[in-house]
Amino acid sequence: MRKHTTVLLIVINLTSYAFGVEKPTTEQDSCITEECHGEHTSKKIIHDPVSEGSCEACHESVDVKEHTFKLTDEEPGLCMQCHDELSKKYIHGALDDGQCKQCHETHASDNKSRLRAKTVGEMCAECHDVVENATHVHGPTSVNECSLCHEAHESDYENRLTMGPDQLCVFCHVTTKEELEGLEFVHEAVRENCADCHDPHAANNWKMLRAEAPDMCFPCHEEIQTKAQTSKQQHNIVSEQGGCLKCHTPHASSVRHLLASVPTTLCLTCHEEPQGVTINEVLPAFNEIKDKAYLHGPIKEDDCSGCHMTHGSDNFRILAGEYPAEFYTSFDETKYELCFGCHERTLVRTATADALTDFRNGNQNLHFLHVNKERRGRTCRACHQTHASNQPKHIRMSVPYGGWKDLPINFSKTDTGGLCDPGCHLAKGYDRQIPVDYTVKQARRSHEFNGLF
Amino acid sequence: MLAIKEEVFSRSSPAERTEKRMIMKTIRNIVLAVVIVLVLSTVLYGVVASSTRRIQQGAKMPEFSTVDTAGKPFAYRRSGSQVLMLTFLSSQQKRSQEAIEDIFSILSGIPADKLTSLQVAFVMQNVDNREFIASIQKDAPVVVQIIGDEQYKIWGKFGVIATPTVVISDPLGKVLCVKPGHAYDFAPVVKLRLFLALDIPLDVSPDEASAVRTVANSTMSAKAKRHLQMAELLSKKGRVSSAIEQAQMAYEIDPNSAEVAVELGELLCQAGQAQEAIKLVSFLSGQSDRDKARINLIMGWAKRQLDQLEEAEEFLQEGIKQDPTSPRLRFELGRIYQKCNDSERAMQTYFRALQLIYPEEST
Repeated sequence: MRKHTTVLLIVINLTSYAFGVEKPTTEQDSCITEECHGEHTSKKIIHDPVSEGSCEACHESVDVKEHTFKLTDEEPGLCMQCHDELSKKYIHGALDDGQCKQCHETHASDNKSRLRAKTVGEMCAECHDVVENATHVHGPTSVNECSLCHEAHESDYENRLTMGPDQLCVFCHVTTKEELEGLEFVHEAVRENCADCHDPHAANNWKMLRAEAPDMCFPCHEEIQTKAQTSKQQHNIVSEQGGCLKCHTPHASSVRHLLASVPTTLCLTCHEEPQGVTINEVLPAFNEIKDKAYLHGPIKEDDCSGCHMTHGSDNFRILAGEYPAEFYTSFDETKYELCFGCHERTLVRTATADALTDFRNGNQNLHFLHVNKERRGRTCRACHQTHASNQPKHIRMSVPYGGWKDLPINFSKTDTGGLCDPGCHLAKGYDRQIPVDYTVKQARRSHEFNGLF
Repeated sequence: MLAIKEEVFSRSSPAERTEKRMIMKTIRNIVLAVVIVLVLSTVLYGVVASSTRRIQQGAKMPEFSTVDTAGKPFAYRRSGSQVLMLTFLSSQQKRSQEAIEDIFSILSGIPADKLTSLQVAFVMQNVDNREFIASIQKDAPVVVQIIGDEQYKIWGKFGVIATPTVVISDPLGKVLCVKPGHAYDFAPVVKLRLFLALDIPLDVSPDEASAVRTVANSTMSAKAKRHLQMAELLSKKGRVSSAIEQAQMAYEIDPNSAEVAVELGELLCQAGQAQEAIKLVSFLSGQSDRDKARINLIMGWAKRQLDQLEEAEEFLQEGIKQDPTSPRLRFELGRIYQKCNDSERAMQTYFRALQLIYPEEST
């Protein structure tokens, strides 16, 4: 540092000779006159000791005859004689090196805080290139006022932020703060640091996101990425650009999983129209529930994810568990994992039941009777329309039978039982209170049940 | 009967007989119609009633008593004036476990004085899953009694079809909520209904519980506020012209916001742009006294800058009446007195302004 000062003094000496100004060889009343050092007072912002003519606050004479001077102390000690010492946790790197002059003019400047550059932003940009031709620039960066978010010298917060990251962004993003307070489910990243997802200075993505969804989301949500990209049945939209945001809101929601809307509404945004699954497969438009009187529980609750894995699954139709695609199948409990996500396994395990189900003849469990068969066990879809129907318990109106596409089931229900009168077998009724005795008469047509139902 | 009828008919003229026949026919038709309606309605009611196994909202809560897994008796009586939260769960289902998390979160938000009116019970079949039971007992924020229902007796009383299912009663013993499944709105709906039963005020109305609300930080108002906050920060940094630019952006986004106009007006006054400030706020009318006072401050401030001192004083005096706590209004008024060389009043007004800023020091 001393070496630099000596070199500087030599340069000043030489320069003054070059301009033909004679250096005084005796002590002077003031260093700043019209002929000498006038430039220090000709600017707007003058360092206090300069404006007070107290040059000795920082300079001391080495040789009066030679008009040579040295600083009274080295930086930053010299500056700290008047300015407060830095004591906070995070100190600007430039100050660590003791170089106040890297940003400030010593004597005077036309710029605020005697900065070397016209604005704070321009000053910072000399070392910190945070914009790099980005297309989306944050407000404070665009107005060249880095000090709106950063302290120039020191701070107790990382990156010398003016406030904690949980307070800083919402100081301007007031509405976000207000809305967050009223919502139950807040994205963990929002609680921790907005800068996890947004570049606080500038970026080439919408909303200054560090990357676009799903690339933005996958690093934290690895399990979703795995499911979305490696499942046998993939929900295409998840991996598409911006896919996550089709269903999720990034900051907070009043409901679980940060959903952006009611699940059925979200799903129907796409599935109201036919959707291509692969080149060879098109999923027809989903209109099965429209105007139907009896809906399957999850549909009634607007919750498609009750049965479908929204990101991907190894089961057909991205179902949440195993479920037979066929009409008949040999019984195996593992084939119905989807249904047992909500319904009791006992339904198909025990031949008799009481309060467990209404589908019984006396205490004969008719779910067991239909499903639990080695050969031609009926799957749930054999009797129930999966999503909705116009019959109680969303029972199907008809079934495919042989070449017949719509064989009517003719289901009717009573207070204590019901009756099926399909074309495939003779009418069969059930009654919980007065069980139909099939040992007496095995097969009847529905009109024969008239007395009973 | 037939004979009497004949007799009556025989005494009447043919015209009268025709009329009487018509009347009788009409009565017969009416009676027939009533009978048909009654029969149909009974049949239809039967169909509708029989279509719902699950207990319905508004129905009477079934009374029952049993013993929980810890051997403690559990009894529900409608006359008990207690709110019952009964949750049917399965220890093997992920959705049941998620529902428990939500229920615990809801229960932990209930004030202690309300807990005395609440009974909470989980009904399960697989109570031999000790690990699961222990985790519930460990994490439960309130006393939760776990009831084993291997024979589906309680399950049947409530007509449960799937798990989880939450049933909440009101203190009068009626079903207030039946929430089957663990759908997207499980937490808000159960919370709302339980709080309603316990008479705990909530901001959300019953209709809104299932509505999805998100952060809508792209609204006009949100955008305008962002620019306005930045204007405030820039103004504090002494960058008034940049602050004005930001406030002008806010004004362009939301020109109907009085708050934006007033903030911009004050910044314009700070920058000495009196004419622009007057143009901006002169047509504004504040709703609250505080807003009115701010408008008068800008008008008085700007008028002083234009040397229209009498008018300026009027605006400021009016503003002081509307907001006697504003130091800024007094300060501007002091400057007018100072400009009029009325040093004494100027000093008094400045002093009052300081008193408003530092009330403790001034006493």
